[in-house]
Amino acid sequence: MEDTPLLFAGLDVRFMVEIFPRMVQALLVTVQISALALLLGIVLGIPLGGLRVIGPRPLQLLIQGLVSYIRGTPQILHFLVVYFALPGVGILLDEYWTGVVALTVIAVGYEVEIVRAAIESVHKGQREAALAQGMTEPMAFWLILLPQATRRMLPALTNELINVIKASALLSVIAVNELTKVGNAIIYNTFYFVEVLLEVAVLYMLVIGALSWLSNYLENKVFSFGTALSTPETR
Amino acid sequence: MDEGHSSEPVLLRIEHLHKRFGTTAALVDASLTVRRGERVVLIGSSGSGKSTLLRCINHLEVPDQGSIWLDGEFMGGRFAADGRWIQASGGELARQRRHIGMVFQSFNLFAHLSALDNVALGPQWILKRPKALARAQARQLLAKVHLAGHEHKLPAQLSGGQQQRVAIARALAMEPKLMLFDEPTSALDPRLTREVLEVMLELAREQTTMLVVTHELGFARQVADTVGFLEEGRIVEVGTPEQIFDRPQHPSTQAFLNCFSPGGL
Repeated sequence: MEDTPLLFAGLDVRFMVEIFPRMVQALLVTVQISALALLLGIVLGIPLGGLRVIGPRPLQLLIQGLVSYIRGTPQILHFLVVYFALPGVGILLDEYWTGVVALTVIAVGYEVEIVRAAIESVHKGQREAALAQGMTEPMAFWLILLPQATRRMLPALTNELINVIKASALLSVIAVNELTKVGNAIIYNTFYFVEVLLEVAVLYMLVIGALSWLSNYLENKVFSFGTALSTPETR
Repeated sequence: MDEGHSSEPVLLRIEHLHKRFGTTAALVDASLTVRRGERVVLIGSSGSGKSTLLRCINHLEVPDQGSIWLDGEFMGGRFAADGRWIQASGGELARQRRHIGMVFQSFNLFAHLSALDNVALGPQWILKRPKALARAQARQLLAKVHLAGHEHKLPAQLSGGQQQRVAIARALAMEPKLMLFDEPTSALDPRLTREVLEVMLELAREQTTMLVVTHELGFARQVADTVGFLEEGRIVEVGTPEQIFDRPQHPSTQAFLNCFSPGGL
């Protein structure tokens, strides 16, 4: 028995409500994969970003090359490389983890630069004081530079999560049931183009809007923290 | 306060040190000896190479040529049996630097740590002392520099003079053989300068081996066993405070000191 359509501005509102739970579920997959990729990106990005600044010269160049490759090529290329190339070398991942790995690659490329910029923004006297005291470079990095750089990284990392969430829409091409893919699937079955796309867009905007707000909030918070912490020689 | 240190063993020996920054010669053939317990003050115009000399001693700047021995050990590397120079690894250099305390013009306290943690961090992580012991010793050192009660303040909550005294305590916490002071009061007003100089005077009384770069000539005269005058990267004159301040031999030293004499303007 077919429900009579409840129309508002030409949109079938009843249908939009009906698909809402599936869409939210798909949104959660999107957020989950993106957050996972961001976290793996941080785990890799911090040591790589550190080595990019204080590592031996050849390693610095290697990391710089990797970053240039990741940032200088279209994002969909990374999905295709992970999807087609990893099985070729014997690594078999399901679609979900293929998506996580590909998004991690994208995230790392940007996070290395975020970490590098944050580390380099710490006053050089901090590193000198640490070394003069008898710390090795890695000790100075973990005990002195990274804790101070972390505060400066937070807004940029929140922004990066936004980028990763937007990039995760590309996972629809390898059939991960994230928001864009689920939306597409519903369209193919029902041909409710406008209703579905509108709902997809609104859900993305809600999540990304919240993160933008968080990023701004952190930036203001961190900025006030930062002025209290930086340039000790001026006081 | 000079008891004469000529009989004490040499702690620091610098020989024929050269350092260039691009086309500028920052140090030219600098040689200097510091005996155990000796207090040496280096004076000279800004840009004369005083700071570079200090920074070369602990290899914050790597000298182009010349040699530095600390307590008989070659800084920054060693010669192999066949005479080849072997650069010190990061770990070896870090170990050598532990024996040299350094106080910077801009304090450089670890901005994210309390005064207490600034002092305790080195002993805890570098000397691997138990945390409780490192903190107890840090508390004593802060009291020694007259900062009891300020343990939990962040550097940004302390005055410049207080920050510099924390920095002195931080350097002392490593129990160094030698203390380097790189213009420790140049960023401070006269009242804060006094606080810091008083602490340095106390250290001098305790026979701490000190190499001080400063423009505080009164302090130099009062504390130094030996004064060195630098100009354009050269150590042009070395002597007792009386020799340097009362009977300077070199025309450059005379000209420099004339700038400080009353009615000089």
